[in-house]
Amino acid sequence: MKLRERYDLRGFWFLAPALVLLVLSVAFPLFRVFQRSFQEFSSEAGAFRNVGIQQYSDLVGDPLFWTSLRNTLVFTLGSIGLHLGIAFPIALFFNAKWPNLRVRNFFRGVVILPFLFSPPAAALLWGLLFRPLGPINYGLTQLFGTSVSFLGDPSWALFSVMLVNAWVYFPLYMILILGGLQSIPPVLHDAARVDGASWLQRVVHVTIPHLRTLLMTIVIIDFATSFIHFDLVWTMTKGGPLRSTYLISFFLYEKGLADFRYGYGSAVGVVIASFMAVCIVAYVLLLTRQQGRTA
Amino acid sequence: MIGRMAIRKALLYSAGTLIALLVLFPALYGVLTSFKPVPEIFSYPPSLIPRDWTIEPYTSILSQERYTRYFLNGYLISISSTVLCVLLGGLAGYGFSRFRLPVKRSLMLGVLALQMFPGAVLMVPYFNMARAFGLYDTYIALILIDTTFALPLVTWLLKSYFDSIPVALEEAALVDGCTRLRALVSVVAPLARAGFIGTGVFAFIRAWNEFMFALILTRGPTRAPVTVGLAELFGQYSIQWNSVMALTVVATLPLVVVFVLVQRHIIQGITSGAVK
Repeated sequence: MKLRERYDLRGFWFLAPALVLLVLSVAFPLFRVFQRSFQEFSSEAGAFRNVGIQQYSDLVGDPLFWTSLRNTLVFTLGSIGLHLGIAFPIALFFNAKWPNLRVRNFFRGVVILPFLFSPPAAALLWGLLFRPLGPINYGLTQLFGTSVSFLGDPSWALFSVMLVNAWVYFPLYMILILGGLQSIPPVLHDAARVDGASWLQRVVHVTIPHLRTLLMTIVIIDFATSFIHFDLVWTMTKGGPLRSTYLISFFLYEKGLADFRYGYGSAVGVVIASFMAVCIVAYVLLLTRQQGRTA
Repeated sequence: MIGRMAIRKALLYSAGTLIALLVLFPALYGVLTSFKPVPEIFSYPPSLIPRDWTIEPYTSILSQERYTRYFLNGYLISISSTVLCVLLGGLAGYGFSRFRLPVKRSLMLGVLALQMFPGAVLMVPYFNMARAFGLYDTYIALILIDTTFALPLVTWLLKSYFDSIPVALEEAALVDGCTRLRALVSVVAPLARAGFIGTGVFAFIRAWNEFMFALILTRGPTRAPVTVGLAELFGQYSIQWNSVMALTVVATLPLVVVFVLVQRHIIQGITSGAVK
């Protein structure tokens, strides 16, 4: 009773506008997705009717769904690998002892710039580079005597769009890793150095274990982001050639909106949402556990 | 010792230049292409630096009403959603920071979880809702959606910003008869200016670069932002690369300017948003 007396419910007035917006624009439509996934729109009746789990079983039998899921997983895991592979070394580089911090901040600012390009803008920049007679193919022809159809060849297209996705988003992860690196007490590295550890040994045995939670957080964030990726790849390939870059968000878009199969599209939405729910729970658990430890 | 320092400096600076050039090459090549005349963009081997500099690509694309319209829409949508985000996020952040409330912890975890919410899942209901409420092809739909997806992080960041401001300052104002809202506006908000700038820039960048919902919920250039205008250029059969790059440069320039002005806030925002 005493505790409740100390509540100050006027605080809800401050929360209300934001909560109302989020309920109307997230909670309600999300409920609709679940509801519609068990319904089908019939144009004769002009209304939705219940079809049970019919659309889920249709989904399991739809080869295009599996193509999109496979492409999405390759895209997602490849993106995570590329992001970490590029961001981690560059973050280490910026975390070195710089004689002049202003110079370091200048270079850091320049390296972050790709993150500012909107997905369609980045798609256009790379579309120009990827042209059959563009600069990259000119270089390849000079060096190896062959050229590559980056977006036209089904065996290259998915890798090409992953590369562009890596270029746009690695700065985000680089900043996060750099923040983590700066939180490592220098004493740890000094101690390892005294013990005769090489630079590589210190990275493997001091830096990476210290950043384990952060790296796991990054993998989860990146998984959640890349899994529902739409913008960049849609602009560049629309899923082609031969559906080699056809992602699950395209499947959702085509079934749910282009084909007007709202119910079927909603079933895809539920499948994606379940993947995401796992990510979100893991994310919240990681962050709250981490806060509990530092507090 | 001085010798080793000099070597270290030279190594770091040259490696930094190399990395910066590699990372920036696509953007640099785009900018250089935007200053080339038409024949030169089709030359082979492709040229790097324009042989004849021209600003014709810029004047030709920016004199078309279609593209100025995209920019107008983009600014209208992004600025409105930024203002709305900072307003709602400021109020909610203050509520979370200063009040003892039932279920506060669950609500805050909800806000944290929403940072990762996959917006694409709501594609179908948004389309149907926009149709049902007469919001298809309007600014309002896009402003509300952009606000929705930036709001969780904005709220979270402003809450932690308010947490770092001593309560004693407002208590003095409250004792003098100020309302809570008045205390927020005239005592806390001015002290949290840096937090508002950082989160505002974040909300602006997100809204300016949003593409998927703009694609789904608009038709033609009357209400669509710049991203839609850029994307439709990609699919064209023969692309005027110099004009396209001019448009890309002009569409990205506002963000680069904002970024250069408040780089520190953005980096702080990203770091504290995902990790704290």
